[in-house]
Amino acid sequence: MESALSWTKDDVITFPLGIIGFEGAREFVIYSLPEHEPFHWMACIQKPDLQFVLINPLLFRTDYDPVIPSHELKDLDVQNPSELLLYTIVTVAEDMRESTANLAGPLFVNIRTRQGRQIPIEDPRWGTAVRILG
Amino acid sequence: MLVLTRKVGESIHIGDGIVITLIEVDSKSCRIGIQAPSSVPVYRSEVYTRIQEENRKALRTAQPDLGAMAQMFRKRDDESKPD
Repeated sequence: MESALSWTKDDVITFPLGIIGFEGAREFVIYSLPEHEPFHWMACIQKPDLQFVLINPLLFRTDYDPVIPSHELKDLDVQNPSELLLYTIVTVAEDMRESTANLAGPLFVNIRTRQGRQIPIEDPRWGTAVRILG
Repeated sequence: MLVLTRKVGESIHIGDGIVITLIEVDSKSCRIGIQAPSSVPVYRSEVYTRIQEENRKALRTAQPDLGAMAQMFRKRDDESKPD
């Protein structure tokens, strides 16, 4: 699948701080395949093996309301809420019904600047492994 | 590990641009102020570690049959939405 992935410079999302635990991986492409919707893939350009599955957490937790610290919002240079995309990283379980998303470390992407950050949310309601399929 | 003693209100400079200040102390905890450039993320260790572990776990399993899971998700979504 990686080999079939084609992208242009405009598709690249830069995570200046990397993904937590993978600080060296900074440039990613987020893409989706119709048969995989609503899940997306996020692949590292430099290391194609580095791929995450993403989902917008609001699709299964409509009450998800992470508070982004103001300095993070400033760093993301958000001028308008509509330019901010929200994703969470999915941990696919062997039994897929038990798959979870990391709601304690959501990814925010500013589509205008094409920069992203994984922002730790220190709220006990949102854990690192929240079931996606009830 | 370098260990330094500081009084309340005193600071430590780390490199060019990071300042750690001891704000308040009681018998079991202390409040620490941290000034750092935005290129240096600052997290509580336990939060950082939990997210790091989950990221690694997510990566190890990132070659699944996502089509099947997507189908399950859409089916669940069609059938019943809680609330």
